[in-house]
Amino acid sequence: MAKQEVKRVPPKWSLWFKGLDEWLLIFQKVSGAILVLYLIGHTLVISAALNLGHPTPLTWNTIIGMVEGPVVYGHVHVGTIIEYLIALLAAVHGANGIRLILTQYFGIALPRPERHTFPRAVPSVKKAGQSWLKYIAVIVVLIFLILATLVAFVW
Amino acid sequence: MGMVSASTLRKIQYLLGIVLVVVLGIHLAFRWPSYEESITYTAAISHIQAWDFLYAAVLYILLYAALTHGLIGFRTLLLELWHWRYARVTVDVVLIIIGVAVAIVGTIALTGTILALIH
Repeated sequence: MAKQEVKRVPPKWSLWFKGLDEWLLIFQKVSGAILVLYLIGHTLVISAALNLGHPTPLTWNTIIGMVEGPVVYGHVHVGTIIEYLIALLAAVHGANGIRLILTQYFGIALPRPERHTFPRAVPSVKKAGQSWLKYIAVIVVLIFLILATLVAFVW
Repeated sequence: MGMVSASTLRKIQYLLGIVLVVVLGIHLAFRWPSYEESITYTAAISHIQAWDFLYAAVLYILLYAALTHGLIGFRTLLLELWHWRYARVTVDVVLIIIGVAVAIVGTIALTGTILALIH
């Protein structure tokens, strides 16, 4: 018997580019990819700055000075701005991630299933019920934004 | 074939996500009140020198939890984009090698620093 060829069908990406929920899921994946690349770089840089377990002020100051880059204004370096943006990205990723866990795994804020009676169409999921979780995520991110701005640029 | 089922991997991913929100929150709180002051050599080693258990524990948990969470997520993303025959085994092997290598480097640097500073 001839071996059956299984043809893989590529996913229809266009189906994803529509509502806010879909874009938030795409954001979660893209921000996660950026954060994991940063994490690998951050671990290696700090390990090098700690001289792989034999810390000296010279090694620390040389490597941290190199990644901090030139001064932009006052005590703010290029590295400060990059770290600030990464921290902000992590905060949005975290807040959105907790929202996704609560919605997708625990089913919190999802509407109760309704009985389908002929000839009514299947009731669509009401998005209004889920929006309060998004508002909480936005508030958490705003509080983080204020604190991070103070720590990075003001104090 | 897989050593860990997709649903178990997803549970681990969600659990580590919740752990990371707490641990990363503590890690970032150590930048308080000024970022620039917190990254000086004196500030960086002072917590370990003072044998601040929370500081060291957070760094270890963060290293392993963030790497695992990040690489599981990156794997999911890559396997959604790549559908060729050996995609799964290639992605798994490459990411495990990267993860183990970074974890070893981080562990050596952190443990060595703790041992050097508390003596």
